[in-house]
Amino acid sequence: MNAFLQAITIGIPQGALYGLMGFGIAMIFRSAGTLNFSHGYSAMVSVLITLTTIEWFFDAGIVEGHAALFAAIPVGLISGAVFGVLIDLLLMRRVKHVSPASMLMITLGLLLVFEGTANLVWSPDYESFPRILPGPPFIFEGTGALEEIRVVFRRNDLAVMLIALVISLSLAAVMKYTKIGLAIRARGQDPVGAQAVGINTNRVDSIVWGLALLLATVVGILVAPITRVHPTMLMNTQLLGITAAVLGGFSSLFGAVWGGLMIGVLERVIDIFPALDGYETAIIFFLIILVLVFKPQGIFAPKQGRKA
Amino acid sequence: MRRTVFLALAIVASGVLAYLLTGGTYALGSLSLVMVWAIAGMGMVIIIGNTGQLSLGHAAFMGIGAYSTAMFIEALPGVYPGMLLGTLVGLAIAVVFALLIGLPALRLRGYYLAIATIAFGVGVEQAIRAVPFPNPVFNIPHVLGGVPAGYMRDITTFFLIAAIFLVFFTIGRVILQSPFGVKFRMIRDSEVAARSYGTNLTRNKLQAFVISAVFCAIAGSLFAVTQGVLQPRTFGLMAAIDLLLIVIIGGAIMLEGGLIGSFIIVGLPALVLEEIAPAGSLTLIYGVLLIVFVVALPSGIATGLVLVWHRKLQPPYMAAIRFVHKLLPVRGNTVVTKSGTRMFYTEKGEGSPLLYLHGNTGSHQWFREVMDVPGYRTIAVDLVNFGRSDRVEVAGDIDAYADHVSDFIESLDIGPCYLVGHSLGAGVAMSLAMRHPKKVRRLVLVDPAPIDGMELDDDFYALIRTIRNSYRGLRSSIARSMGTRAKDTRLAKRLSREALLMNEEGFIKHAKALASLDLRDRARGFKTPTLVVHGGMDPIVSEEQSRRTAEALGAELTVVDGVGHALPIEDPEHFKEVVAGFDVA
Amino acid sequence: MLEVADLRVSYGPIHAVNGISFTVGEGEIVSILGANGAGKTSTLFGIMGIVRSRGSVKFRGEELRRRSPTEPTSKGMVLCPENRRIFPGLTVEENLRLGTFVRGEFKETAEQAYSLFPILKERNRQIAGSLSGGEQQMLAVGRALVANPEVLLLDEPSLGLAPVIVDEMFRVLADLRKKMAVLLIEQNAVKALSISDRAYVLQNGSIVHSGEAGAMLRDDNLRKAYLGM
Repeated sequence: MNAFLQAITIGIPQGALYGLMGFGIAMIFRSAGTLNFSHGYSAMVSVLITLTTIEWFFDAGIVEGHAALFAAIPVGLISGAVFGVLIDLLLMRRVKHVSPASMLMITLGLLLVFEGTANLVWSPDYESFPRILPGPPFIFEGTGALEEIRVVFRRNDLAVMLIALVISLSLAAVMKYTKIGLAIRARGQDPVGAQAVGINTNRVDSIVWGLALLLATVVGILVAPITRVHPTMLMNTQLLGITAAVLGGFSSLFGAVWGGLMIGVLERVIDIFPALDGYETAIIFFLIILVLVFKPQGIFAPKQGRKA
Repeated sequence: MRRTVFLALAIVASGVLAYLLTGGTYALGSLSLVMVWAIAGMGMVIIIGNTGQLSLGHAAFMGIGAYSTAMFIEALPGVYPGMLLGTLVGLAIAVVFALLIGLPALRLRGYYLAIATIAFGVGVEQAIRAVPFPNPVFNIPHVLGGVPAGYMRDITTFFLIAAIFLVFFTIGRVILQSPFGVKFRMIRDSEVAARSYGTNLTRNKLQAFVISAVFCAIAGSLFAVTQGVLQPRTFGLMAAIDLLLIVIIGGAIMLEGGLIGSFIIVGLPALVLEEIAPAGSLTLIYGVLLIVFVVALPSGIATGLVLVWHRKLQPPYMAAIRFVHKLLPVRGNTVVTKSGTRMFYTEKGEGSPLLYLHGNTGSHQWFREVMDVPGYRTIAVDLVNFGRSDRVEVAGDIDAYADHVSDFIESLDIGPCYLVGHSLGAGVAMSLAMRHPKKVRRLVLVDPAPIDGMELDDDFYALIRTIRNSYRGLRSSIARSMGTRAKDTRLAKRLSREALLMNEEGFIKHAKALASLDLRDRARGFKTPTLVVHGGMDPIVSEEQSRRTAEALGAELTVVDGVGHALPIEDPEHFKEVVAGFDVA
Repeated sequence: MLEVADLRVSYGPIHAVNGISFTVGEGEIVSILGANGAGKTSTLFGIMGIVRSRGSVKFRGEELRRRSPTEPTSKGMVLCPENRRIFPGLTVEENLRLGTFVRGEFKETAEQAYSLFPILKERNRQIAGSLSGGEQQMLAVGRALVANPEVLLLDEPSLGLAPVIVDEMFRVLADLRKKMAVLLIEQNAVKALSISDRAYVLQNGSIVHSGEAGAMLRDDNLRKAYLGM
């Protein structure tokens, strides 16, 4: 029981990150039609830029202590958005005619480009990264009948959950109530229809790429204290983000968030069983094949209206 | 077979070259590794390039092969029992996994198949990582442990791996050329079309998936017993991407692409680049290369080379053959006709003059075996624009060709002569006999160009282009027109080289001239005694066409059974009998 | 009002539209007729900047750059595309709201659309994908109308609809005459000519005939040759 609760308290913040990653991946997939396999890798470069900026602030003595992190984060986020827009403008817009398989290989090529850049400009070493909320963990201890319960909750996870929640809610609001959100959804559902109402779909695609990679950078900055900063730091997060998007069925953006939460919890729950320790990722990946085959529309996809 | 031999020579040559350049056998080890990856690469050529299923999970099959081999070596006494059994068990496990994963996953397409296979690949890697091996890196004994480490071992390993590679290359070739391979490619090109031909999509995709998994598992086992240590991440996502790079850059259609790609992706870094390139730059470059190849050269290097060979290098190759062939001495004479044109001919015997006119892409050589007709002075001439006679500007003008023959008859003072024309030469002979009747005493037309024009198929010009731009295409076309003697490769070779002497414009213009030929009007009041001889199995001119020619000329028609388009070559004795017999009658 | 001169649209080596010219005047209904694959939709896409095109398109005497559909739409040329192209996952209201993405005030123009197609008001909060085919077509036309077009470009509004609904649709279109110019693309030539002022016949990407709609309806040869009637 205690182990289970503990699994959930660790799993949910972790899963929220997978979910946000998946959200961006699903967003690009829905609007531009590309499954971006370089998603986490370009975010990784943005995290490196953030880290370098922190160090630069330190060295230059402009900002002191923890404030340097907050001063550097906007730089990292902007770099993420810029990467997204550049990828779309310089590459993806020009290769829209190719098959899905070719498109996928192109993003794998981008993955190599980002990994190579990280190794070349920075280094393959593991660097530590500051937490948003440093400090000792919260410990909840049950009393009375629940005496056995003792759950540890990392302080930084609080920040992770709050940020993920705020982002999810504001994304939901943007998608539902703003013009650009409506345009993004419309473009994903019918590109010709979107153009017919005067939406510049090329511009929407650039915005989507920028937004999605900005989001991925947020995830990267939140993950970095745990994984530390190195060229493959976001590989698993990216793969599990894609998995989350698969669970969400790609057709619904927030399905990816639910999918991510489920994966995050599942990962920790599998961990509880000693015999399965270490196999959690493998098990999730094998499960995902089954989902792909038997429920390709995802398990969190909302009921779609029939298509006429 | 030719490709296998060629490849074997190339491998040995590269080994020697590597030894000479580096002055040591270290490079041979790198080349062995290249061939190990190339075996896996050929598996990818089968599943990606020939079946069109983008799998990113095949590195896992390498991992399965490698770890199975390593575990059995550790568990069993001695080295070879474990090595052999481990490889076989690894193979079996790979097949089982390929079936288990392929059966559901191959129903998916595009992105979904890629995600499923990547999930499989990373899942296997993570599973291997999680297994608590007592000795996680395994110090695996070398496959040639008996040979002391050093140059001897490097060399023998190189040849052993090369032999294994060539075996799998041959197996791959056989598979891809078999009905299986045809079905794979049908699925790649159009699943709808493949299904309408009655292909069982799932079964055939699964076959390709399993075959490629076997290739990868073998490569994994070989990797283990040549490299000695294993790490799970060797077979992770990066290996999957490496395999992809190998087929995309090497070329996904031809098996050779696996070797070329492996050399670029595995070999070049190991041999040179790792020394000189800063860390990370290689990954960066390969990323850019992957994008560039997918966008600009999706067929990869191997197929690209073949295309370059056909489009760019065939014409100079054929020009070289022509140049050398022209240098060879040949018996015969040249006469300059009154128009100043040089015409080449050979002759034999004494008696009344008998003049042979050859067909399209031909020369006097087509009559080499029928020169001795008793009682005749036989003369075989190269028409203008053919063989060793001059080239004239009016390629494809049958009447002009006839006028040059008329001049030739005057120059040798052999008119009126007994004229025998074959195919296009028969068209020239008709034109000559109609417009210069005094120069022709009698006329024999062998499988003649139809008097009312030849019918050309829609794909004819594509065929002509192949013949014109490919020496092989030319040879097979010549062989086809040799009818029952098509198998005589020496003769086919000689006649193909003669054909190269033809004015290249003739390839298209002669065909056009034969298609638009119409001598029916001129045939009215034609008086020259004429015989039309038709080969019963002629694939080029039909018996019906020869009958129409004969009727228009008021000529006899003889059909010779059992021969094709080339009686003078296929049955010289019978040809001579026919020719001599008609003159007597 | 709308002047198109020497419009060319190609997809790689395939020429869909080979330099056609036509005009649409103020308050006019003009039809472009032709068989499948004649280049009708490509013509509209070219004018709107959805696909790349060469030639000149002038709206109210002003040359359009046609880099994206945003420019023509914001100036008052509004496309109602073939096959409805509504957004199936959004509600009816969201669909209509998107109609005013670059032009029109939703609060003002929505009422007009609702009064033309009352069913849309009833289904306001419903997911558009759950509407029937006819209702979806009404939504598509409504979505174009809320942008308050000066020229409405209508691509095959009767495609795949029941005859009763086709009649209804053409009744509504005929009523639009007083408010805006309409460029109508139709395979149903009789219907189209009956509400049009003028018409052009498109074949293999070229205009092969043009004239008064009434005269074309009476021209037997033309009807047999091009319109398959």
